[in-house]
Amino acid sequence: MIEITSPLTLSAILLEIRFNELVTSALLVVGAGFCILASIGLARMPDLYMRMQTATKAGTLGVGCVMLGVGLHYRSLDVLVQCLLVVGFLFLTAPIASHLIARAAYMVRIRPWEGSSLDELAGCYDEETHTLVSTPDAHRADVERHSGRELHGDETMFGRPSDDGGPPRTA
Amino acid sequence: MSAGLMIIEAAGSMAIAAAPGAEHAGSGVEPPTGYFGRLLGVVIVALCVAMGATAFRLVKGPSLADRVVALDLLASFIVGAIGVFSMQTGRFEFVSVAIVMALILFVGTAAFALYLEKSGRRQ
Repeated sequence: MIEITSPLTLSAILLEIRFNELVTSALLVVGAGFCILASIGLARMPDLYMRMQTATKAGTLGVGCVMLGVGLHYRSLDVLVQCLLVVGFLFLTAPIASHLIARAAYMVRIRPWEGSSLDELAGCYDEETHTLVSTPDAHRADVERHSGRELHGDETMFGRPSDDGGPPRTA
Repeated sequence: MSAGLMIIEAAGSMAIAAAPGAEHAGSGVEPPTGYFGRLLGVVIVALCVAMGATAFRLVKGPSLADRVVALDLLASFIVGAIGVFSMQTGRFEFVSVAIVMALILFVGTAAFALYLEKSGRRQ
């Protein structure tokens, strides 16, 4: 038996707020927070690839939480299924779209941030056909066999680091 | 456990709503008031701030790919905003609009990415 002494006690508040609204509110707040984080990351990150990962991950999670909250709000299976469709579709397509953009950006040679230290795809893409070959070593051997010239091993899609005035890498 | 209960409860309320004589002037439920209505307003404002920061990148973005990423994120924020708006007005038909928006979002982004790759514009 709950005794309500004042209309502003915690139990009165808890009785007034329905559980469903509580869950929906929590999902909405979390979703809106992740949306804000995604947009801050998109505005502040230094290069395209970092912007893309923050936009895709945080943005998808934020919008997914918001739509899940909408689905739970109406207490109707109909609306819940529609919202789950939206969430599932977003979660399925956002990584694919992000991958497509990243691949296209890499192909048109949008440079990564100068502080990035690793380019694992260097030498792995055939520039003519835009197809992926197995490893940089295999690709290098292939190119050397066909062109007859020796490669240095530190080429990236964006040229050799020593050509840019950066510190030359010594073996 | 609680999710299952919730679905059962939702199905029950749907059966009540579909029963003849149920009092619904239009479709949907009453627009929320009280703390929940205010929360919806705050969420809309937060989404608008997020859209503003995204639009900044859309205008400023140094490369075409930056603009495509910003447009993609903007469209998914619009999906969320449509959902919150449907709660504010209490009309659940807007959720279908959100579905259509999510479909168009992917097709548009994929088309932009393919165009970017095929055109081969170097920076």
